Amino acid sequence: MKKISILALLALCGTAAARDSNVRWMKFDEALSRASTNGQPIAVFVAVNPNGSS
Amino acid sequence: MVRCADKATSDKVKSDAISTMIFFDGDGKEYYRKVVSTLDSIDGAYQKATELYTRKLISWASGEASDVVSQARGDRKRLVALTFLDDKKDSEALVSALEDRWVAKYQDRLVYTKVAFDRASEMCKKYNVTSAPTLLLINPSEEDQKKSVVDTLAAKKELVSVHAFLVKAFDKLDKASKK
Repeated sequence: MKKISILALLALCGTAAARDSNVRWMKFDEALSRASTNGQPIAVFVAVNPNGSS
Repeated sequence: MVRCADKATSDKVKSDAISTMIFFDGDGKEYYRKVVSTLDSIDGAYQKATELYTRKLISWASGEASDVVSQARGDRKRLVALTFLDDKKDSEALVSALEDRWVAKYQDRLVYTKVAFDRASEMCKKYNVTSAPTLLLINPSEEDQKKSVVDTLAAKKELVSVHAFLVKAFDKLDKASKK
């Protein structure tokens, strides 16, 4: 799982950053709050099982 | 970007599997999810999500605005967007805001018709439009002209205001149709 998390981080920051220089990781609630002011989409990478284990 | 690494966030995003990418629009509504396993699949998911949530050009109804309103009569789920425009930048900005990815989803519920702003025109007088741009949302099912105007947005507005305007109008319409 750690491997994919790192891959995700690299991929998202690598590909998305090219399109959006403001890319940074944030809490879901913070992302929702920001999105409600400018309509920016939110990308969530799930790094845990639904029961909370990783 | 959100890294969901705890159960509380997992519940909030309704996660059903680890290593999933979930995408939400500006209203916090999920519009795409994909289980990912490789760098390519992550990039693919991101690209697909970007394609799905994108600016959409307005498809303007053809014909006279008054005919467009008449033709839409009987359609209880859609509103007619009477858009009074001139050739200035504020009008361009309004159209651009209406085509933005955040509000593009409302295009399916709107019949857009463009009216060239002319203060002396019949349409401007009929709807009491005194400046451009002005966006009037008309309920075509309502025969009383005054009551048919659901809401009016006049002058240049930021995207967030245009979004709030549309959300409010459709809330009103949906509540009225449930009664």
